[in-house]
Amino acid sequence: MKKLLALLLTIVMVMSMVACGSTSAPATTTAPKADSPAPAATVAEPAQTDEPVTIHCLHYMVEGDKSAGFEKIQAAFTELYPNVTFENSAYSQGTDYFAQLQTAIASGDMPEIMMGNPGLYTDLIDGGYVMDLTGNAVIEGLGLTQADMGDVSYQGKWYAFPVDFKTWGVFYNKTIFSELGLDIPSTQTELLDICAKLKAAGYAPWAQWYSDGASVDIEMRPVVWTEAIQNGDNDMFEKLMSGEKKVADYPYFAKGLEAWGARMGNWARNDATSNKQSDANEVFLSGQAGMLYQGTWDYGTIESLKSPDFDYGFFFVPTDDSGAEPVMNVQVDQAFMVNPKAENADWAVKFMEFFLSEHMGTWSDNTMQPCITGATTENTTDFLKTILGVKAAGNAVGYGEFTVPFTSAYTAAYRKALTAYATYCCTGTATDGVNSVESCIEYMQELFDEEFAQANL
Amino acid sequence: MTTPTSAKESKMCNQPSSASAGFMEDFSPAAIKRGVYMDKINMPKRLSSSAARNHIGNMLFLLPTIILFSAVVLIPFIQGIPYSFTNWKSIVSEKREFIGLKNYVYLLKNKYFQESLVVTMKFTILYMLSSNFMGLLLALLIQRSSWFNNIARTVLFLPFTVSVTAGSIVWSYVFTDVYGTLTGLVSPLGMPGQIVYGMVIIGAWRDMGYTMLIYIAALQAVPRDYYEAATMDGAGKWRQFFNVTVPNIVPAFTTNITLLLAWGLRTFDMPMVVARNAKEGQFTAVYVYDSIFSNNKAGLGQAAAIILTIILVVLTQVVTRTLRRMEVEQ
Repeated sequence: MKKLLALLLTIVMVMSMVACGSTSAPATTTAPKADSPAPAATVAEPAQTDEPVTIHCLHYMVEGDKSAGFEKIQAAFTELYPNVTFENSAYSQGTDYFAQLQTAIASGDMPEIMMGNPGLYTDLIDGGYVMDLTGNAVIEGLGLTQADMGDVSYQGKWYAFPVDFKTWGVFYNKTIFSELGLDIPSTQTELLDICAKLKAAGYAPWAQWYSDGASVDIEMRPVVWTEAIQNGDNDMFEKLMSGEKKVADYPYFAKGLEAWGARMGNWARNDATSNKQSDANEVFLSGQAGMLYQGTWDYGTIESLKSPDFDYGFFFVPTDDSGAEPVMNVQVDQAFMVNPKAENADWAVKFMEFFLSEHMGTWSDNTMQPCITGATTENTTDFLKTILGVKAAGNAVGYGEFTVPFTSAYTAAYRKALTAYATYCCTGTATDGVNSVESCIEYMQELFDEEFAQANL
Repeated sequence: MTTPTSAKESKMCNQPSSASAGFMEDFSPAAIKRGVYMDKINMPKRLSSSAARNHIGNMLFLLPTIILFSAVVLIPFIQGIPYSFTNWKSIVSEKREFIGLKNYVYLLKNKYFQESLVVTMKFTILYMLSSNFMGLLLALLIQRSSWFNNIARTVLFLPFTVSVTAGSIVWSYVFTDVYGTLTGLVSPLGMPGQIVYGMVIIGAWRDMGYTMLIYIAALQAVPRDYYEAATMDGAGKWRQFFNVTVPNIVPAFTTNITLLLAWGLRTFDMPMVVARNAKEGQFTAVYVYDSIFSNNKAGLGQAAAIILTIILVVLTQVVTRTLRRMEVEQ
C-alpha cells in the first residue's frame, strides 16, 4: 500500500512538471539566437481570419487606472476583431519588470507587446527582439517633435509607439496655502520661505518618498536636464558612460544637488527616507504635508484617492531666483515596443496603430495622463490642459533630446548616490561617505567607474 | 567477525564455519559473492527482503522531492557554472566569451561585493541568534501541554505562515506609522546603521515560531529522570538548564542554527522590499540579482552566486560538524 502510494505520488509529481513545462515552452526550447536588429517594419496587414489570435502584453502599469484604460482599448479592438484576445502581465518597473521581460524572452516565451522606452532596452534591440518602426505611417502621422521621438528611438531608428508623456513638479494643498496666506513661488527663495512658514504652522513642508529611486531622480531633473540641454550638452550621458567625461566636469549635478538640498532643508519628516510613493500620497492627501514633489503619472491616483473636499494645485518648481518661468521637463511615459519574433507580431502592430490613431482620447480619459499628441476630449481636466498647453508653447526640454539615455545600470548607480545624499540631508547620517554635495559627486563617479569596469570585464 | 552460535545462525549469516578464516579469505571473490559479512571493513550486510522493500518505499517517497530539487535547483545551478567563466552580459544575448577566472578575481577584490558579504553576514548572525534565542525562550515557557500553551503555540507559529514579502511590507508600515509615531524617531528601515537591525526584527518575528516548535520537541524528549536526579543532587533550575537541558537539546540547536544560517545567507525578498535603494539592503543575493537582471552582467552575477553558494556550504558544514560533536548520546 505504502509502495503504491509512493508510486502514485511520484507519477503525479512527474506528470505535473512535464505538464507545466509543455504549456509554457515554445516549439523550440533552445535559447533564441542573437540576430542583428530587425529590419524596418513594413508589416503586412494581418490576414483576416477566424483563427483565434492571442496578443501577449508585458507591461509595468501596476496603477489600476492605467491598466484598466489599456484593457478598455483592447476590448474595443476585440469588438472589431472578435478572434483577437489579449493576455496581460504587469510587474512593477522598479523591481522586477525588466527581469521578467528578459526571462520570458530568454526562455522563448515571447510577448508580442512590451512596454518600455527603447533606450533602456538596447540589449533587446541588439538581439532582434524589438521591431524597427521607422517610417511607420501612424507614428509619422502623429506629428511629434524630435524630442518626443528621441525618447522612443535608438541609434536614429524608431522602436516604440509613444502614447503619453510625463513631467514632474509640486502638488500643493490649496487649503493649507490659503490658510497661511501663501502664494505659488516664482523663485527658490520664495519656495524656501513657504517651507519655513509651513513648518512653523505645524505642517510638514514636504511629503517625501526617498526609498523609491525615482523620487530622488526627478528632484534633480529640473536643473540637470534643463541646463544640460540649454547649454548644448546633449551628449552628457553618452560621455559619462563612455568615461570621456566625469560627473564633476558638468556643473549641473552640483547645482541640482544644492537646489534640492535647500528644498529638503532641515524640515524632513521622520518617514522621508522610508516612504514609498503610496506612503507619500497618504501623507499629502491627509493634510499632514503642504507639498508633494511628484510626477504627473501620480495625478490619476491622487484624483482617485483624495476626499471630495481636498483642494490641490500644481506648479513647476523654481530652482533659482531669476524669476523666470520654470522650464518643463518632458519624457515619454507609456511607450510600447513590438517583438517581431512573437507569433502574432503583425496583429500587435495593428492593435498599436488602432490605439494611437483612434483611442488616445480614451486613454487620456481613463488614465488621466497627457497624450503625447496633445489629444483632448470633453472630459480632459484643466490640470491636463495646462500641462499640454505648456508643452505646446515650447517651454519644455525633453529627455529625448539627449543623444542616449543612461542605461538601467547607470541609472541605478546614479540613484544610489542621490539616495545617499537624501539620507544625509534628511537624517544627518552620512552613508557611503556622502555628507555634502562634493562627496555625493565623488561617490556618483565612483559608482560610474565601477559600472565601467564591469562592462569591460 | 562474530562467531555463529548455531548452525542456523551460521547459515543465515552466511559466514565461513571456521572463525579462524584467514584475512585474505574474507576478501576472496568467492567470499564476496557469498555475501559474507566482513566485520573488519564494516561492509554492509545483505538486506533482508522486507528491509529492502522498506528502503525502496522510502526512496519512492523521496523521489518526487529529489526530482523537483534536481530540476529546479541542482541542474540549473550546475548548468550555470560554465557561464561564470564568461563575460556574458544580457541573458537574451548569445554573445559570451570565456574569460577564465576574471569574474571571480574581480568580485573577490571588489569593495561593493565585499560589503554585500559583510552586511549579509551581519544580518545572518543577528537573525540566527535572535530567532534561536526567542524560539528557545518561548519553548521553555510553553513546552508543557495545556489548553493555553497549545493556543499560544499556534498563535506564535502563525507569522511563519505569512510570506516574507507580505510580512516585510506590513512591518515597514509598523516601523513608520507605529514606531515612528510613538517614539518620534525615524523608522529603522530609513535610518542608516539601523536598517539591518530592522530587518533582523522582521526575520526573528517570522521565524521564532518555527524554532520554538523544534525546541519544544527537543525539550519534551529530555527524560524527566535526569531532572529528578539533578534535583536530588541539589541542582537548582539554572544548573539543571545548563547541565541537563542544554546538552540534551543540542540536536535542536544543530537543526535550527544550520537552517537559519542557510536562510539568512540567501535572504533576498526582505531587502528587496524594504531597503531596495539603501546600501544596507545590498545583500549578496540582491547583488546577484542586480548583476544579472538590472546591470546586464549575467556572467559576473553567476560567479557571485557561486561564491555565495560555496560560502553557504562551507559555513553550514563547519557549524553542523561542530554542533554534532557536542551532541549527547541518550
